[in-house]
Formats: sequence, structure tokens, C-alpha cells
Amino acid sequence: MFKKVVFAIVFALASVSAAFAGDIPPLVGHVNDYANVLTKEQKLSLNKALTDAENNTIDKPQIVLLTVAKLPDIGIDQYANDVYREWKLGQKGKDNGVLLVLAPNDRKVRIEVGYGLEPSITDARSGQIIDSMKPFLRNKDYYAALRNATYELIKLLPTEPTSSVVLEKKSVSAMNAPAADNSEHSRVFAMIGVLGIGVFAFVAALMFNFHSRKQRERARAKSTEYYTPPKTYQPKPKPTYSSSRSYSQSKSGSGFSDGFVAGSIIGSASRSNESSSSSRRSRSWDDSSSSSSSSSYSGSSYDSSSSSSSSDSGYSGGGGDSGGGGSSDSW
Amino acid sequence: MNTGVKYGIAAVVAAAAIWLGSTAISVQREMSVEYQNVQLAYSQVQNVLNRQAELIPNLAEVAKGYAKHEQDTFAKVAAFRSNAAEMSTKNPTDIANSTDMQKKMADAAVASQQAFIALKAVKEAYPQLQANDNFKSLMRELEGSINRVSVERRKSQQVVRDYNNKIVKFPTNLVAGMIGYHALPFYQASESDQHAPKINVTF
Repeated sequence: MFKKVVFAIVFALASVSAAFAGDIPPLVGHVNDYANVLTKEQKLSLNKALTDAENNTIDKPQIVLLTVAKLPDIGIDQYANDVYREWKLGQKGKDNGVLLVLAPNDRKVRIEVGYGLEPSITDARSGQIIDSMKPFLRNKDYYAALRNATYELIKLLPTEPTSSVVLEKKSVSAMNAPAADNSEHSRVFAMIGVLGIGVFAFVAALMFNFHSRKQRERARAKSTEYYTPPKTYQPKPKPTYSSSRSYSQSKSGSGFSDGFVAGSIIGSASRSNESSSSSRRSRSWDDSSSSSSSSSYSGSSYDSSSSSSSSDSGYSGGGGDSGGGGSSDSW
Repeated sequence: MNTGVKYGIAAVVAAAAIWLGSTAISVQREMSVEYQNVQLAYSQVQNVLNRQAELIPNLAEVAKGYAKHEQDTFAKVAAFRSNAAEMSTKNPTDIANSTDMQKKMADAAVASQQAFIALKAVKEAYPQLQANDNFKSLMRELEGSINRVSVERRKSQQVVRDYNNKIVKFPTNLVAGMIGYHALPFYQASESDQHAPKINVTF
């Protein structure tokens, strides 16, 4: 009993999710009969006609038929456009695809034409094709309707090659960002560059004084160039920093308040400057190119907005786009 | 702090500076392309609005031949034409940055739908007009151009959304503002626009 309930729930959920709007079925070929209104022979003959047309026509336009049992709520116009773009009909750069969507149960039909074929298959002409389909559709003779439409569409295909510049789209160079924008961008960009260099230089300055006073004295003692005077007590010079009133000798370590950490770093840097100019020369300092371990940011993690078409059977469109041309109607 | 730690800190800071610099470079390149995509999308909307603006006067002329006194209809047509003409003079960059202009674009789209519905009413009222094949195919073209406008507007919304999504992601968000790329405004159509009358065409 429990199993039955679980199964029923799962089945209900699955069927509900399948009916959700935006569900785009996979592209299986030129004929996608998801409403099951065509017999196998009918599908084969339509498929043959469309495949021949694609192979024998200049620029290989792709005409694809789709029947659906139920239209999503967004309506056939938007649905057809979504499907066309998901399936990427037509050759890339030419956008010469046509999608005919038939929803027999909703009594709606649409011919969606890609950018590239809009001059040949105008809205008015696709409207006429739909008009010629209507008598057959009213008689529920879907095969005849689709066959008629197929032949009419094939007749309208262009016989001369079109340039691969996609029509209707303006070139981007005609509208670059205004010059003000550009200079502002590069100015701020330069600021970032300078900032980066500044940080880098600051860090480099830090690196000059990495050896503690003790190490430097030891190094000096080791070298024979210098005469080390006998160790007598020498009072340490009192530092005169107005900003770090509570600065005490580094040995104790205590007495640094938070706000003076920066001051104390600068303080120790310049203090050691006085006494170790000679040892700086003798020390070799390798370039900070050792920090090449930093990962350079690559842009490959950006997602592209268009998803690839989901085609289980290895059939995929060429990568075309549609701007919503075509015509639709109900009968 | 001993020497090793100081070296370590300096190395980390240097690495961070270099990483920030290279991020800035790649973000600049990526965002400039995205920004141009946004401009292209808006200019596409302008294209189709212009196409509509050229189409509708022809339709109105044919209709006037049969229905001289339908002033309301022709007023709607004129309203759309002025809307579309205003939009066509704008720079896509300005449209991208201003919700006002995006609203005007939406208004132009709605105005064209209203003009279409008005013309359809005229057609129903005048059987001679209905029988005119020229008028019939022009109405089909107008319906197609209305669809085109809504497709291009949808596409432009997608592009802007993608652009904004990229801006807020790490590490782009660190540098995008400094380089000059800010999130773009987005005109969300009001309820009345969302449920614009669905054009149910039965000829």
C-alpha cells in the first residue's frame, strides 16, 4: 500500500513537471512529432523531403517541424522562439532556419523564421502558408497540412547565396561607447596600475630590511673589512617621532598600541636605515619574481548566456538565431 | 618577526597586488565586451521599432482609403509613430543607463499593440477593407513586427541580466566599480504592460 502511494506521488510529480512551461523537447531530426499525429511512413517522407532540401539548397537552410501535445502558458509565439533559439536552427552566422510549430490540441500553429530567411520567407508569406493549412487542420488532416507547408516553404527558399553577415543586425562599431566613457575607464585603470605598482614598491622597500639588527651585526662581525670596536655601553639614541608617543624599544615588544603599528613599522625601517647601509650592499636580494605563484585570473569561469542544445540523438542545429519573424494563427 | 615571516608577508602582498592587477585587466576586457552586447541588444530593439514605424503608416493609408472617419484609430497610429521616432534618436548607451528611456521603449511597444488592435477593429467594421489583400498582408507584417519587438526586448533583458550577474560575482565585483562598470538599471514592466492584450488573430 505504501509503495503504491509513493509510486503515485512520484508519477504525479513527474507528469506535472513534464507539463511545465519552458520544457523544450530534444531535437531528433527534421520532424519532431511529440503530439503523435503522424505515422512512421509520413514522418519518413517529410524527413526525406526536408533533408533533401537542406542538402540541395545553397547555405543549407534548416526547416524543422515540431508538434506538441500541449502548449505552455507563455503562448505559441514565445514558445516557438524559445525552441528555435534553444535548438539553434540554421547555419551559424546565417541564421537560415525555419521552425513550424503545430499544437493540434490547442489549435494553434506558428511558423518561426530565422533572421537570415526573413527576406525570402516574409511574415506575409508565412501567413499565406498558414492560410493554406487551415482547411486541412479543420479536418484534422495534420499530415496533409504539414506536407503542404513543407513544400511551400521549400519553394520559398533562396536560390542565391546570401552573405554571411547576418541581416538586420547593426554593426557594433557604429555605436562605440562615447569617448568620455573610454578616457574615464582608462584613467581609473591607470590609477589601479599605479596603485598596484605603489603597493609593490612599498613591499619592496620592506624587503630591504628583513635582517634583524642582530643578524646584521653578526654579519658585520664576521667580515674582516671592519674593525669591531670593543663593546662598551652606548646609550641608544632616543627616537623623535611625534606620532608614536608610546613607542618603546623594540626589545620589550609591549607598549605598541594598535593605531601605531604602521608608525612603528616605518619607525623600525628608517632606524635600521641609519646603521646598515653597508650590509645592504653585501646582501644579495633576489627579485620578487618568486611570487609568480600568484594565480593569474582567467576569464574561463564566466558562463555564457546561451546554453548548448540538448540533442540526445546527435542531431544538432548549426547555431542560428531568430528574431521573432514569421506568422502564427489558430484555426 | 623573523626574516622568513617577513619574506612570506611581502610575497603574499606582492602576489595579491599582481593578482589584483591581472584581475583588473581581464575584467576590463570581459566587461567591455558585455557592455557592447548590451548596447547591441538595445539597438536591435530600436531597429525593430523603426521597422514598425515604417510599416504602420502604410497600413493607416490603406485603411484611410476605406474608413476616412475613424479618427480614434489614426490618433493611436500617430501616437505610436511619435513614440517610435523619439526612441530611434537615442543612443543605446543612454538607453542602457536610464530606466526612463527603457520605460519609453516599453510604452512604444504597447502603443504599437494598441494601434494594431484599433486597425483590426476598423478592418472588422469595413468588409471591403477586409477583402483587400494588400491590407491583409500588411496586417500580418505588423503583427510580425510586434512579435519582433517583444522578442528583442526579451533578449535585451536577458543580456542586461547576464551583465549584472557578472558584475556582482567575485572577483569581478572587486574591480568593476573602479574601472567604471556599474550595474545597469532595469525597467521592470508594470502589471499593465506584462498583461498587454494578447493579440488573438483569426483572419
